[in-house]
Amino acid sequence: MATKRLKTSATLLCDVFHRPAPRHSAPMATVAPSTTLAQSQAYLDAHLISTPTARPTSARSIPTSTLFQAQANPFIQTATVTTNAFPSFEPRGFATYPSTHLLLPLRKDILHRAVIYEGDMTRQGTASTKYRSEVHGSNRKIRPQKGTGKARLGNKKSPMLRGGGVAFGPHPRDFSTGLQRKVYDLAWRTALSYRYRQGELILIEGEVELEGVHENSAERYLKDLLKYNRMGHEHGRTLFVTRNIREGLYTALEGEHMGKQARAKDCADVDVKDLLELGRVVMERSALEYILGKHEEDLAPGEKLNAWSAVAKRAAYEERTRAGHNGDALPMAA
Amino acid sequence: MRTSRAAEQTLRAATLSRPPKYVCRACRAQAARQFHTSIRSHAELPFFQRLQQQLFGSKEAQQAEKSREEKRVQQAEDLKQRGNVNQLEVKVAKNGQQYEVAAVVVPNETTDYVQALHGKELERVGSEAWVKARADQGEQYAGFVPKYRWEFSNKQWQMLLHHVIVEILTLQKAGRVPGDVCLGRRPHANSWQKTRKAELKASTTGSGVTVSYPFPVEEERVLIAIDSSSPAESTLLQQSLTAKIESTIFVAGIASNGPAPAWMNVSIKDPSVKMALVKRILQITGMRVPDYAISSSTMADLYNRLRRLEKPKKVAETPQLQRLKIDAPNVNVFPTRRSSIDKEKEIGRWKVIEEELLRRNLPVTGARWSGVKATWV
Repeated sequence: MATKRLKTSATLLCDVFHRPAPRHSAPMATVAPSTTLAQSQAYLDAHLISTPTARPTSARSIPTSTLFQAQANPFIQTATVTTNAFPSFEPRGFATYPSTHLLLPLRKDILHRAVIYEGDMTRQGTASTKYRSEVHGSNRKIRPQKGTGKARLGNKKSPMLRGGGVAFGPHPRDFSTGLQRKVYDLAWRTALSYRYRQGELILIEGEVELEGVHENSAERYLKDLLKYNRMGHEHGRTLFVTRNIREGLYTALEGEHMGKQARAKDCADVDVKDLLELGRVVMERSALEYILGKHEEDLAPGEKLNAWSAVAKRAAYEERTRAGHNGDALPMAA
Repeated sequence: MRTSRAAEQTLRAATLSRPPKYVCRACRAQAARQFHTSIRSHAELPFFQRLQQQLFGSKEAQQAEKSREEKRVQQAEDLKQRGNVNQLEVKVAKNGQQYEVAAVVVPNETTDYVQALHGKELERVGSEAWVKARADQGEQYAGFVPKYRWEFSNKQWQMLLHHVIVEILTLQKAGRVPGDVCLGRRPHANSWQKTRKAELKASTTGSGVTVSYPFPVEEERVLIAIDSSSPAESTLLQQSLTAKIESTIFVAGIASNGPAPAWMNVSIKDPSVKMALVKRILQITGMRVPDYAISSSTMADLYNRLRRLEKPKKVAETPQLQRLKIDAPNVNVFPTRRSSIDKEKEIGRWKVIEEELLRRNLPVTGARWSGVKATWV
């Protein structure tokens, strides 16, 4: 059984469910786009906008025959995310993702199921009591059945007696429940979509690491960083999600009371609940693409991130060549 | 005398006929130690020498005092040679670590030394925070986001967006990178005054938007003001720009009440223009443009997503109650509490009732009458 926090998820879910709607919410993914190819809206300027990097495809993915080219789904729109530098948080470019990954409608029921599932999964389940059969003691009848004027009693291990066993007490057991893989994957992407729509998803190009900062100054430097960018305790705290463990950042956040300012987790350790808990999520771009690629089981092969990025790049290339741009020809995605 | 008393007690305990009380080992050992037949110091020095030392002091004490005095004088001379009290002497300890010797300040000799009256202002040493502060290497964080965040009204947003987009299009027109809008400005450039007069028009070639100034020299001045050699705008310059935005008289063609003005039909599909716009807004206002707003295709879309909707002043104007008319047409919403008088007014009987009450000289409205509140069946 995994050893994690045992917080209740009720307050978290209440916060998500009752948070006031944003002033202007992003358009729903189910709205049909214009007749022109939706992906052509994503101008793939070579140095500014980029699509997700292609992962090595497994054997079960779509065939890579040169004769077959997957057609674009006309109902998929594009979500544009600003990528920033770290630690200055200076905007550097844009990254585009399909609406199936970052523009999903808010499904509170699915988020609820996922949070409960994770909570159950992380329960230790080590509470233990002794039944009357497990309590140490003999089975001798402690007083006669009749004649004493008192209630009849068997052995002294009875739950009614002091020192006796517990009648229906807890025993170590596994509390984990099941959740369909596709529902869980949808919950992941719904949580990320919710954060994106609220404007609380900040993408970092590169690594989230405190480079050039001595370990003795890391804690103070990180506090200044959070205060300067309005990401600390007063502004709801921040969750840093990294692709791998970043020693400097993680060590700085181990300091006293730093948990009240921010948290850091690598993408293998983060949960849906973590994504919804704190005020904002600062995520490495590679971590986001890893998470999106890992949680798209409910999508058709043509809608997965790899396939979409290839189609989007091809569509943008065709658009640019059709428009007669003199810019460098974009390389075709592999 | 202590020794004799302790010795007496020991002897008494030893010679008592009645059974003695229990005496512990430690007490017995102490008693044995305290048992002296004579005073020990008498064996070291004769009487007269002892008397002499008490009156005039011993040689060792005199020598120690002399060496202390010499050290004090030496320190004072070192201090005078160094010339500055703040420069502390650095020594090397046994473990090889360097440390500073605390300064010895003589209040009588040092004129600028002020004795502290209480401990509040003095440096506190030894706490965990103090240790961390000393170990800190002093790296300072420098971010892109400005220190302060300004809140603008809708009209001010319109003025600001106009200023920024005019600068960006001016740069683009001159063949420069739109990202240069985030560079520093020459002092006293006052680009703000010049961009207000610029006009945005759809280009004659059919693609994009062009910016035109009433006088070409103003366009040149706007371009010259954006100087890569000048440092990036400091907080002071940003504050002065925002002060100008906040206090400016709104130009009728640029800012208007209600929805976006006509000039905002500028396309911002070009990613370089979009990036420059987002960065410049962040640099000036400290506000990070939300990602879903970045997907806007025109300035009007962007503005509509950034502006604040005015709060409804009455509950009846809230969108929830406005929707109620459609969702539940059988529900009526009233601004005030409904009484029996309102019910009678709806039927049309109130006029008659009022006349009759007045004729009978009875109170028309009154809270003491039990039937004044309507009872809904």
